[in-house]
Amino acid sequence: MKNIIVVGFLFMMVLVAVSCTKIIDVNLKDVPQRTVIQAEILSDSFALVRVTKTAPYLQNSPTPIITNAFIVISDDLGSRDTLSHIGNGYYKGDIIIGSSARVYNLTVNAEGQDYSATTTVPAGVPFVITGRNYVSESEANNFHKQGYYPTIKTTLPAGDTYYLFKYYKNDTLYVPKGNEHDIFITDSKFIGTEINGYETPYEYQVGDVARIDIYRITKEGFNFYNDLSAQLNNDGGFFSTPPANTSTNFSNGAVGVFMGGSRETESITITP
Amino acid sequence: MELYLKKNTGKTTGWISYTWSKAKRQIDGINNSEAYYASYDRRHNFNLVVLHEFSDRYSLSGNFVYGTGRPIGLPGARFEYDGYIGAVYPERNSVRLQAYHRMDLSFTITPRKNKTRKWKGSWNFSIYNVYGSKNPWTVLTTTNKDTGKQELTMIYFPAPIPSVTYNFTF
Repeated sequence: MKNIIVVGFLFMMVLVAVSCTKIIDVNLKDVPQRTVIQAEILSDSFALVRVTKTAPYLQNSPTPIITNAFIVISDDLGSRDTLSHIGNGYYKGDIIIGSSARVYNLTVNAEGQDYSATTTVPAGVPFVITGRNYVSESEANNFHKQGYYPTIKTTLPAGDTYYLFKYYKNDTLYVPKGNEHDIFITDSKFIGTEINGYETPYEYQVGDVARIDIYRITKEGFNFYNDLSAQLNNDGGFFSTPPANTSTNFSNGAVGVFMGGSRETESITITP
Repeated sequence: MELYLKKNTGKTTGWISYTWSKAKRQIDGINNSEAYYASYDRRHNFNLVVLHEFSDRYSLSGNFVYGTGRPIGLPGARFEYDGYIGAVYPERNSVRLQAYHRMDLSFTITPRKNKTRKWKGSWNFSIYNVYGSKNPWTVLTTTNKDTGKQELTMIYFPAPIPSVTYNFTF
């Protein structure tokens, strides 16, 4: 018997544990600048669209905004609404209001290029905040910090449905430091239909106003956010999937998605 | 294409090998269904192994490896969407990491045979990556927490790394 003292495995484990990182400069492959369209029409709301452009990945400058795009939303009844620029690349309609009974088509002309996409508006799913769970200091850990976690209850419709969650603290989008890449999406296949006791991912303290928004969104919207989440949380390791571009329902190579949805909102003031 | 030259007589033995290869993949629905370089594609691969026996008790060996860097998928552009920074990738595995190269050295001491022992042992002292080449394991896209700027962070193993091994046979 030979080479019984095989240290290879331990060696590798030590290497992984103490591996170093270094910021590097790489000549990234150029990609042609593309138009980015963030478009949504929510139930009982006017369409809201933001048009920007991509920027070189390592360039530390804001992504360019487009303020002179010509954007029209129309529905399957023949109504048309030309969106007006309201600042910072955002455009808003003032005629067509989102309805789950309609099909919407959006056309965007930006810098001589035409882009279009179609969506529907899934009906919203009401929910209630049933209370809040408390995690004491002695029970707290890195993933479940000390504080109050509001819980919700709802029944989701049968079939394939898709959801986006947003959390607010005192009317400000709640993104704790270090959680900037979190996107909370799910579908009915994963979460089931009976939701009871589902906690917020972040903790609140006494006196905070916790607001929960649940968007029921289209499959295309879910796919886009799912792809974006995969990009943001890809650690590049051996077990990560190869990075890929986000999906889109726009024609002509635009980045982004035209997403229909319905938003339900509930809030609670945290008490001891 | 593979070339291989070996010397297996005399006090100094070893071999040199060189491989030229190309590995591409083509999968429907990926990379617009066009062929792209596989993650393990390595155009040039060179290996040199030398072993010198000073005596029955002492020997020194070393090896040098060089390989073209592997292809990796890195973004070419970024976009802002709903408060997040997304990425636009050119074709898959479009960027090639820097070349991989390192040298290892190993010195083996075989103690005089002890007739009362039932085994024969040897001590091996080696250094992995003698000249501390910073070979990338992977590259991550990260966001600088202070500036908010997108960055590329290379992960590599620190080097050189010494080790001691005792081998025995019975």
